[in-house]
Amino acid sequence: MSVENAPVVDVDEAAIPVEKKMYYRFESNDKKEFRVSELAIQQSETLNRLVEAMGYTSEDVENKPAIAIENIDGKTLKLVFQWCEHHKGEAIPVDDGSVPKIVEIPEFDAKLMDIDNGLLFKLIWAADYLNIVQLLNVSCKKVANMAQGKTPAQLRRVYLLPSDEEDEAAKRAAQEAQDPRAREVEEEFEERKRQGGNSFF
Amino acid sequence: MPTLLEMPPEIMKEIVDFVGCPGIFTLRNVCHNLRNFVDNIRPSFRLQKLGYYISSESLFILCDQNDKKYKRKFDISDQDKFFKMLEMILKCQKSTLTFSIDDTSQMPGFYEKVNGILESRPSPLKVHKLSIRCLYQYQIHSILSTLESGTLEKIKFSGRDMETLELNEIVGLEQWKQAKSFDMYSFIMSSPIFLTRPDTKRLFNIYVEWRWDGERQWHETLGPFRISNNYSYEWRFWFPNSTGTLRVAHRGNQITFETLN
Repeated sequence: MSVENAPVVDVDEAAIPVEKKMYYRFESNDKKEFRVSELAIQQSETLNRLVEAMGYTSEDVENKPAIAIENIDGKTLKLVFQWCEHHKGEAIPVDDGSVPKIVEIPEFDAKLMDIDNGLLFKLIWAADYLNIVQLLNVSCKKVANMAQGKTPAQLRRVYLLPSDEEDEAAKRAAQEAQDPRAREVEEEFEERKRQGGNSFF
Repeated sequence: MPTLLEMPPEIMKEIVDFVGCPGIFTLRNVCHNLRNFVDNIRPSFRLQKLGYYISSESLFILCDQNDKKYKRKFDISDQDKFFKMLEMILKCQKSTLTFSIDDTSQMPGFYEKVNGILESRPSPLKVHKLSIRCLYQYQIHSILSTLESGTLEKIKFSGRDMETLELNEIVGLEQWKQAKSFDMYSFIMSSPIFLTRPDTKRLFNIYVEWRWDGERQWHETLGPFRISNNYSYEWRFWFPNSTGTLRVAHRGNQITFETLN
C-alpha cells in the first residue's frame, strides 16, 4: 500500500482540531498513518524529543511526510497512541525506588490491554522503545498479574514458554537437523555401551 | 510472536519486579532460562514486612507486599529450600521494611549464615521496626549489627519464659543508640541499658511480671507519684546538668521510661 492512499487513523476522534492544536503524523512500519496531538506525544519521551528537535510548524506537520516509526506495526502503534491520547496531560511518574512501587491499572487501560499475549508483548516492547513510562508500568504490571496464583506448568502456558525437557528436546532436534551425523554418533555410542564397553577409551 | 523471554532484559526485570515475592519463586521453577534470568538480575523486592518463624517441626517465611500477606511453610527437613528463599529475599529487598524474627530453636550455624547474607548486601538492609524473639545475645547482634543505623526506629525484643538475655554488647551498637522506641518482653535483663543520653528523645516500654509484692516495692523505690490522664502512675526526674526530663509511668504490667527535652 502506498503512502498516498494509506488510510489516516485519527486516534483522538473526540478531539478533532477545532482550535489551533498541533497534530503530528506518524507512520508505522506497515504504512499506517496516525494523527497524534502534541500533548499526547509528551507521554513518550522518545517522540517528544524527536518532534522538539524537528521544530515543525503547523504547515510542516501537514505538508511534510509522516514521521516513520520503523519497528512498530500499525496494530500496536494504534494501541500506543490511543493510550497516549487518553492519558495526555497527566504527569509522568518518577520511580525513585524508595517506596513500594504501586501501580493500579485503570479501567481504560485494562480494556485497551484486553488483547492476546503476543500483541501485549509487542505493546510492552513499543512502550519501552518509545519510553512511555506509565504505559510500560501498566503493561508490565498486567503481565506480572498473569503470574499470580499460578503453578509453574500454568505459567508455561500463559507465557508461551517450554519446560526444561521440551527445551532440551527442541535443542536436540535443532542440532540434529543441522548435523544428521549427531544421531548416528549417539546411537553408535549407546550401542557400544550396551555391548558392555567403555570402548571409547 | 514474542514470548516473555524475548523481551529486552530491562523489561523482563520490570515484570519480574512487579511479580515480586513470592510469585518470583514460582517463576524460577518455570524453566531454566527464566531461573537463570531471575537469579542474574537480582530483582528489586519492595516488601513492607518480612518475618521468619522457626518451630521444632516447621519453618515459615511471611511477607507483606502491596498490603497483601503471603506465607510459605517448609518442613524442618527442607532447610535448604527455606534458606534459599530467605537468602534471595534478604539480598533483593530494596525498600524499608518491618522485620520480625521468632526463633527459639537452636539451629546450628543459622545466624552466622543470615549474618553473612546481610553483610554481603551492597547496602545495609533498611528496617524501621525490628522485632526479635530469641534466646541469645549473639543472635540479636548478628542481625542488628548489619542493619542501616538511623533508619531503625523501633526495636522489640522478647525472650523465652523469663530466661536471662544479656544485652551488654547490643547496647554498644550504633543501631541501638540511634533507635527511638524500645519494647522488652519476657526475659531477665541485667545490663544497664536505659536512657544514657538525656539529650535524645527515647521511649522504653518494658513488660513485667510482678512477683510477690514487687509492684509495691517498685512504688516505694520511686517515691510519690501522680496519676496521669490515662490512669497510670507517673514519676518525673530531672537529669543532672541538663534540661532533659525522665518520665516513668506504670500501668498494669507495662512500665514506660521516656526521655523528654
